[in-house]
Amino acid sequence: MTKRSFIQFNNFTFRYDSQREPTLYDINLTIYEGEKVLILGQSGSGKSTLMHCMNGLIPFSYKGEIQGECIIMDKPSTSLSLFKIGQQLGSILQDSDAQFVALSVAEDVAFVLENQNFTKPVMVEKVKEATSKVGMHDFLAQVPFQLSGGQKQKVALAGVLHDDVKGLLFDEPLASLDPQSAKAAIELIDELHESGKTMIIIEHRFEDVLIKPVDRVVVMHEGRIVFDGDVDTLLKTRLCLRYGLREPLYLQALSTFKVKLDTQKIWHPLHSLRFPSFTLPAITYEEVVNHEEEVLRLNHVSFQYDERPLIKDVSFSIRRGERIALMGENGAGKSTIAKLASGILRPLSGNIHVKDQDINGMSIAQIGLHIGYVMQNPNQMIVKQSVEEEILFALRLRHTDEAFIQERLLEVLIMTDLKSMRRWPVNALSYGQKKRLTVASILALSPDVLILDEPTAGQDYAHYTEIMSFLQSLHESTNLAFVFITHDMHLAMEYTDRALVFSKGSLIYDGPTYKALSNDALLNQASLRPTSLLELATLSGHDPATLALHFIKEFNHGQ
Amino acid sequence: MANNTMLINFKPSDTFLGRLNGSVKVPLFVALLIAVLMSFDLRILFPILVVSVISLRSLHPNKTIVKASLIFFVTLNALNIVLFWLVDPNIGSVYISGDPTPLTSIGSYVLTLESVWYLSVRFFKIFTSFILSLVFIFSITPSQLAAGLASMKVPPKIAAIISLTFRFIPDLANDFQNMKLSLQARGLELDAKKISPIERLKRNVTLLIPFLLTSFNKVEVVANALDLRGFGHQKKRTYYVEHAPTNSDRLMKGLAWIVALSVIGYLVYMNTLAPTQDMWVYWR
Repeated sequence: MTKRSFIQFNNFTFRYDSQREPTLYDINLTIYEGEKVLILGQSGSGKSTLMHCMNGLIPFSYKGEIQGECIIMDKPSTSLSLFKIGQQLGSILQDSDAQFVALSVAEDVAFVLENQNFTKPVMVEKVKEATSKVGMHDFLAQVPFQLSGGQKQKVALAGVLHDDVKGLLFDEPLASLDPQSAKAAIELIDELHESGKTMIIIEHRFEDVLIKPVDRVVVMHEGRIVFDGDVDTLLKTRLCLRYGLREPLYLQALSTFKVKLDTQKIWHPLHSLRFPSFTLPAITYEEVVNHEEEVLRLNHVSFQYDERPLIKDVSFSIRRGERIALMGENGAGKSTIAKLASGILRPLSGNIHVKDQDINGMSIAQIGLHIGYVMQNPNQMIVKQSVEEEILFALRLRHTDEAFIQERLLEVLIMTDLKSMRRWPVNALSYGQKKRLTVASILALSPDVLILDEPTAGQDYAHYTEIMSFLQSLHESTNLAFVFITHDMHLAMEYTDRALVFSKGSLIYDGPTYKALSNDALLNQASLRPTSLLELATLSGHDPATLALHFIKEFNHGQ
Repeated sequence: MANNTMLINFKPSDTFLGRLNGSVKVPLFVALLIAVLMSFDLRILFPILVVSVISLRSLHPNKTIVKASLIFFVTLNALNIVLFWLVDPNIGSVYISGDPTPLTSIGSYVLTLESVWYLSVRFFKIFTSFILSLVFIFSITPSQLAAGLASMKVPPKIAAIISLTFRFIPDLANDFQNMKLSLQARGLELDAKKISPIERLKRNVTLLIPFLLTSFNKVEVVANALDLRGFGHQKKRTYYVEHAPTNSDRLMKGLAWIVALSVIGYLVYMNTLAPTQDMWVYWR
């Protein structure tokens, strides 16, 4: 049987009208019907532009200059329309919230049908069919505000599943999902692929996609395709390192332990990988007893909202200099804990102490002097026009001594490496720099604890590393306690010592991170997913905790 | 977010009015509202008010919201009426011919029967339009509104903008709240008890710039989401919220037509046949 091409790019170059240089150079790529293709690449590699070329937003919504051709189902894309392409290829955008344009699940799924003038009885039938394919048929009347990110994504998927669409295009489907929902999303994508649809997935969370097989991987870098082949070959070429992508953790670990792998053998999936046995020197984890000052303590804190308990009897304390991962599934209570600690919410029972002082009588502003809360999206925090003004904003509100203010400003600029940019306008900063600025503006108040909500969410590996090494060096130069709210297992493992794991509002684990991450039962209970280190430990016959500990030590050593 | 905690319903209520199609409710409301705004005739206004009050009760609206908006509106309206009288104590005689009938006087201000009648009817009329609007707001969802507007030949794009606005208001409110809290944590005092209202307003405005900037980021995604799903591909579109007309839909649609035709008839009559006629008064 000959393979029929679904989308084909021939010597395709594209330049946006607003830009001087092309964003895509000389793309030659054929995606065949029924294939499952993963497109990898850093931010700015051109993968989103490539996606726009496939779904017709280029040339129909974004204007620019095209050389070469893009052929969709045997016709040049320029001769089609957004609507015609949409009937063959459905797109699921990254922002699952913004693409939910209607006011209920059923209406959103029916949106494309409404635009085609279908009658009500036909729409009801089709909506029922599409929603049952993604398991959302019991939620038809729900309004968007009642749905989780994963559910909204399923609705978006159902909305383009009508009429036997031939292919589906996913833009970073895992970006805002917790590990379990991400796994469910990948499994659903796989199921739809099994039913014969062509699947194109754009992601940089490489290892998370690989839990189900993909036929082909395409790597983009600076507007060009630099790799086009199967997963196994990609891993063996070690190109990930060169193009700012994260290798699967088990490979990272094996190379950390200096295990030589035979390129003649299969490297992926892990259970088919044959590797020579290796030994790990005996290691005992010294329970470091932290004698530093206690800066935050929660005593039997409970909280509820609309009669629904969100936090149930939680107690823990944090000392100076600790690096803590606050983990758990979406809705487990992580953000609520952060809001309670920063005084935005007040506990129903129990009490919270900041440096031995009950925060009950303190205002949000007073608590803010001790607990700094850095929100996920830096754009939601920055209010001033320049770097310097942004840092000065809070300083001026708190202090009147101008000499002190200037001195503190300089200190913070140096600490966060923003001194050379102090007069830059904020909109000239990259995402990572903005993140640094928000941290700087909080640091200016000399807090004792810094709570960071998903500091690297949606960032590729290069930016992840940039942000995390900055925070790491900040940790070394100050004596702050860092709390990371995250469901990124890599982040927790590499940058934290202690984990607080929440499930359904209760604190179910408080101890060393490496132990948490090698405890299968615990991870399952908290809807987290074990990393491939755990499987590697099983295959190599090492104790999971020992292996994890070794890896973390080596990792920190290499930093 | 639970339903019915806010002024706007996102799910249609399970009541007679809630179940009606948007393409019935919108024309009916528009026709009734025009009738109310046009006439100074209690014989028309009173039945509409009675029906509106009954309808409002049938919707079981959130009592606190109704009470608060009622107090606000009645106060404002009463103030308006008093100002009307202060500007022209003899205003009633403009609309009712014959010699003015003085009732009493306050200083140099004379209160005539004609003015009392005119101003009371005016108050009543605005009050009726307010209750009618409340019924409309509580009985319709944004999607039904969009469908209803489209049925009245409003371009689907404008109808969509209206329903999208309602879709994103709660999200935007939530974003705004988060930004406010992060600034409070950095030391910006927004507590009503601690700073003057003007200062508070000024500080909230500071927040508006970053807020608008983050909101604009969403616009591009929303536009793409609409384009990719074929919005505007055809001039006409259907609406999932609309169902095949039931008997109540037909009945109310008929009523909308009767009101609309009567309004047109009334307008023609007042302007061509009896242009100088006085407003209706009980004593003649």
